[in-house]
Amino acid sequence: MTFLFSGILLRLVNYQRSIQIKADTLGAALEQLEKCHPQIKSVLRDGSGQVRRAHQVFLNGEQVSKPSLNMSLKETDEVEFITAIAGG
Amino acid sequence: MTNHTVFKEALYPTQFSALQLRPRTLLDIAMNGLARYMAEHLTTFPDFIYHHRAAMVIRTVHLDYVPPDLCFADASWLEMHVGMAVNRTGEWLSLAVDYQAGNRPVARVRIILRVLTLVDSDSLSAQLGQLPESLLARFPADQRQSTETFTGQARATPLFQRGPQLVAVQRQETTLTRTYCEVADQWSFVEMSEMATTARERLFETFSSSNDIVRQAVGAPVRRLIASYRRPMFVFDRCCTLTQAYMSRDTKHAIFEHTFQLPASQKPHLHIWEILDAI
Repeated sequence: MTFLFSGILLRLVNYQRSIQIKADTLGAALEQLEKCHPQIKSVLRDGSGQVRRAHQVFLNGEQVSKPSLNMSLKETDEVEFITAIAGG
Repeated sequence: MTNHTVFKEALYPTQFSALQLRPRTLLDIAMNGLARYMAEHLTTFPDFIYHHRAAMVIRTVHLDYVPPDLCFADASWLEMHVGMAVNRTGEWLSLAVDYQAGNRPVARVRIILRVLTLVDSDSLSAQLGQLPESLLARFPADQRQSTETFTGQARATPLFQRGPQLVAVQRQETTLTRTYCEVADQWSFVEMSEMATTARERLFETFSSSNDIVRQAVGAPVRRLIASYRRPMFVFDRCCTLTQAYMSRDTKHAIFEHTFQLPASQKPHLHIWEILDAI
């Protein structure tokens, strides 16, 4: 699968627009991602390990209303996070 | 008793175009007014975010110039009168800034803001929320309004009686560099207003062979600017700007309508209307 990044998350992944990861669930993919970019973990996940509500999760361009860490992923899937931001 | 904030700014040349105080200037000063009002009557902006864990995003902006336009030679100082209002649950805020030079009104800005709750202070990520009770209590009774007052304005889309088309849809694409963004790498509403102005003035090159269109695009001051922010864009996003222009049905005004979105988006993330006097 491939993670796509934009906005505030870019600088937490060394400004890489996309990162390919071999994993078959969202939870496993996040764990792989966090091994390479540990600073993103506290931004993306809450204390219980779930994706924070501030991030909208999109799977292949479609918003996932209730993203689960068990969500199955294929090799060609693209997951994107859109983050609501407190700014101007 | 109503709370308000008054402050003055010395005027300088880069705040003006040859025609008027730039929209960007007035919106930047409006943000200054917001920060000053908050510091005087609520809490400072940094404390609002990092101590109270609250934030706000802009939903709509209305900027109205009062003719005749103030030019650089006309005044040395600009005086701002700033007020705010809140809905009863603390979910919505409005900011009103009246600009004066001497005793002469110059412009008026009205902004509707949605209150957020901070989720993570490192990324400044946030979700829909409401003002903490301690801050809500600082709004006097006469500055509390019904929720419908805010949501109505936040949803409202201006309806213009369209007359003849001036310019068919023009498309431009650019990258949102940090020039266009704020502290959290999200677009800045101030800089995006400037992007609308830029899109209009680029028509000078596109229509260099049509003097009527060029004169209308760059020869008249902006009378009103209306912006509706729907979904934010972020640093290094590709931003597609679509611009069209038409006369109002009474032919008194030219309306330049801009939408901003990711190239693949189905809906605009931002819609800005510039209303100019017809030439």
